[in-house]
Amino acid sequence: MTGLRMEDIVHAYDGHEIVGGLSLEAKPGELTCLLGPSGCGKTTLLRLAAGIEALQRGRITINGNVVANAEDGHDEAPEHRSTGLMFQDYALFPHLTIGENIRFGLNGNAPDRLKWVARAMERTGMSRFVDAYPHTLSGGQQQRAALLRVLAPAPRLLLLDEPFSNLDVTRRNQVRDTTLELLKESGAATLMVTHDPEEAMFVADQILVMKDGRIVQAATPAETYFHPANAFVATLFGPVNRLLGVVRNKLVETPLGLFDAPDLTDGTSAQILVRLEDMRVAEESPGQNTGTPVRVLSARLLGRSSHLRLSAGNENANGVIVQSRVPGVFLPATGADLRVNIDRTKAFVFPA
Amino acid sequence: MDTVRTHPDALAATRPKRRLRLDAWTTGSFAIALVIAVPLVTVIFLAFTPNGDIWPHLVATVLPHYVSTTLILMTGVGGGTLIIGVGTAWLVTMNRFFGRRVFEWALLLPLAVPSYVIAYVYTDLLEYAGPIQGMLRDIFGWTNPRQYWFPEIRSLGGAVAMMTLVLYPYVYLLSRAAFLEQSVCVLEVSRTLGKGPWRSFFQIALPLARPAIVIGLSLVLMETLNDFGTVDFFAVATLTAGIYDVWLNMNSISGAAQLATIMLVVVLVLIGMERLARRSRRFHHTTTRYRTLPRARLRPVPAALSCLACAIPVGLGFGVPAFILSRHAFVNFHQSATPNFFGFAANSLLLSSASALLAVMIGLFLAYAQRLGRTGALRSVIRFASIGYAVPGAVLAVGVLIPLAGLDNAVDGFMHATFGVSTGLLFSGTIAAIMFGYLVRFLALSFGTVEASLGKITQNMDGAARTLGHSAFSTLRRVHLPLMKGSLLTAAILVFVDCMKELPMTMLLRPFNFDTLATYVHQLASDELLEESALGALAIVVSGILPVIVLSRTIARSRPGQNGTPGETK
Repeated sequence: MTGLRMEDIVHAYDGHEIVGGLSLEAKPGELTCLLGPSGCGKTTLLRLAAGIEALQRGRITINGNVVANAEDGHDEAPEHRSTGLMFQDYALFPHLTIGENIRFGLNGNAPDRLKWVARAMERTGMSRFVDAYPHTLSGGQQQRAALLRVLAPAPRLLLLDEPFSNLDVTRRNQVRDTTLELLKESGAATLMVTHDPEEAMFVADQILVMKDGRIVQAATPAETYFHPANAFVATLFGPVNRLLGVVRNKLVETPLGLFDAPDLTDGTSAQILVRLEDMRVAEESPGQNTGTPVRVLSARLLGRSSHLRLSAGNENANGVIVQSRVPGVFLPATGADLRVNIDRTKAFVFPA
Repeated sequence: MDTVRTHPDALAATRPKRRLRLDAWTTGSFAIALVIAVPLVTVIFLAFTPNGDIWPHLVATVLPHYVSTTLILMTGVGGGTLIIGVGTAWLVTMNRFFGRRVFEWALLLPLAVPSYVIAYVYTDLLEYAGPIQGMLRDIFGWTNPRQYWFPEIRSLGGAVAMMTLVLYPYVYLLSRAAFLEQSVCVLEVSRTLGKGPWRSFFQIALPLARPAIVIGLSLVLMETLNDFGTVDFFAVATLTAGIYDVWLNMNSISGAAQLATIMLVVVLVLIGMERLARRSRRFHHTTTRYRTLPRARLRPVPAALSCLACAIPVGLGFGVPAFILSRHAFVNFHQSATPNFFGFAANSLLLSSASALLAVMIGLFLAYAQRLGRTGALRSVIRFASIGYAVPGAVLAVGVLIPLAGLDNAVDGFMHATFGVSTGLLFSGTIAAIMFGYLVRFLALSFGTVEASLGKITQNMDGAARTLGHSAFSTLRRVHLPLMKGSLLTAAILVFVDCMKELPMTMLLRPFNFDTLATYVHQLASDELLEESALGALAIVVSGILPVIVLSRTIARSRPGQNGTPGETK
């Protein structure tokens, strides 16, 4: 049992390359998330794995069996791959009832799967919609119907394309738990596509960050968040402060102090990225001031947190404007003097 | 940024070619498309085969006359349908007057009347012995035709009038759709910039609608070129009439083929015109604001004139013929409803239903194969095969008969040599030949309808069904077919009715002593027996109303933003 492996995949539409030499793996029993901006080739990968898009270059194996190999032209039809693909728009058949939709993938009599379907519909509260048609259901109910339809034939590989993107925020949280539960039980390898980093953090065992048809980082959620491989990954999770400087003696000097740059060569320019929530801000108190002095440009309450715009250093010379997000209510007056401390383990240094 | 990897040279080296999958769908489609293309290829092939002795003869004798008559006919019908079609479309989309809602669909009704039927009716009405001239003579006391002038209906001018009356709905249909598509904002801008309604029409609305109008016009001209019944009845020597004459009276099929190639040139020009217009149709509007059209309420006199302007084409193109045919059919019911009549009606029904069924099945097969394969080669072959809709029936008949005769000869020769039996004509001069002809000519109709309907089903449906373990065929059966029921029926109706009406191909390809309603009606009418032919003609007209209903239902739903988007002002 090795789950899904895609090796050296290249794919182009009308001469425009969408996927450029990419390899990935999704292990059985794990949820692997493809995370990246829209149009980066995520959905294409799912379609290739499912077999509804002809493979142009590379090799795809599912549980050790080669299902497509561009070298010898082998390309198994989608109906023979035992994969379940859940579409972003759910693609429920409008002329079939929910029950018929969910049972669509069960051929002949598969009593144990029928039993499973009945139980799963009961559990997810879908039993009362057995005879309803898709258009009469809410978005969340349609989502569950589509998920059950995919799971019903017990596929060895599950492919989910933005399964929660059509739901509003509150509904999304409810549905996510049910979905995760069902996915874990199935034991299949799951590859899910999303453009929402928080969602990926929430559901994934492994996150594959994609950009322009390539994978730029493959790691656990925590690793991805705390040790981003490059500036692109670091900025995925929200706005950051970006400080620029030149490396001298493995150090970068910025208006907010010195930062270590052990991996960069002297003389090159570097950027230091700090998330807004990692800027620790304190009021000046005589005697025990650490950190860089800054001046408040504006302070606004966002609800759960407060957002500050601060200017650091001499405004005319090498001054910068930085932002900070502070939990709770913290609204110093405009022009007030503060101090900023940055936890050096949460400052990411990359070549600029 | 590292997106600049698409350097052409690099791509040429690395980009994998889309493989042509040789499954049953693709190979089947290629085979079908090639067979459908045979008649067309035959005619084109004949065009390039020197056939010395007939050509100079044709040029010296009949050809110039055929060509000039055809051109005059096309110019006349083109001009007439443009004025009536665009004019009425503008009136019903932009103005409010008594009867507008009825005229919106009633203006399509003449489409149900084949041009040869309307020609018989008006000949009956307007000839010397007809009721109109009779009435005039009674009123004014004239006793012979030298005492007064009356237009001769059986003339080129008459043919132009007849065809204009039944073909203008093509232009009406497409220009109406185009006017509806136009954002009102564009017109309102024009009005606020100081242009009056007339100048707005000529400077804004008409140029915007031009591509659609050109498509409608090219369809009209294709039908004009195709017409055989009217020109034969009026003894107007067009190219189509010429093919029939040269083939059956001069007994020269190669001469007929030569004429066919000339028509093919005209057809290619028309197709080019249509394709060009279709391409330039997408799409100019930069605004997505559509509102219910603020139709101008007309003052009484213009309103009455508008009403009249719409009533005349409907009345002359549908009302009069329908009334006269019904009356004749009713009065002469016992003479008309003979066993012969029912036999021919059965022939028509069976032949048309079988052809419609076949055309829809093949259209579905091709459209679905195209969806599965999405290869350029397949697409081009299908496109070529569906040119048949533009090619006049008489030309296709030539293209159908020559290869079938060749096939017959080959089979006969083989059987004769091998088994000593002569098989004679197996294919040519059979019902199969007619059906093949219908298929070549009307496949584009069913294919186009099915293709459009398939296009509305998202590819995700296919993907979902396939990943759930269903084969391509099972997906078609369980997902697409149920979703497309309505469109398949529409496609079948369109083909069915066109087959019911079809005259030139049926005349040329039918077996000996085999008649359909169309050929029967034409035969009786040619023998000046309109009273007896009325029942058959009426049957054809009644069946022709079916697609008019389908069309009017479609256009009622066609306007963007029509389905009550919130925030719309009435």
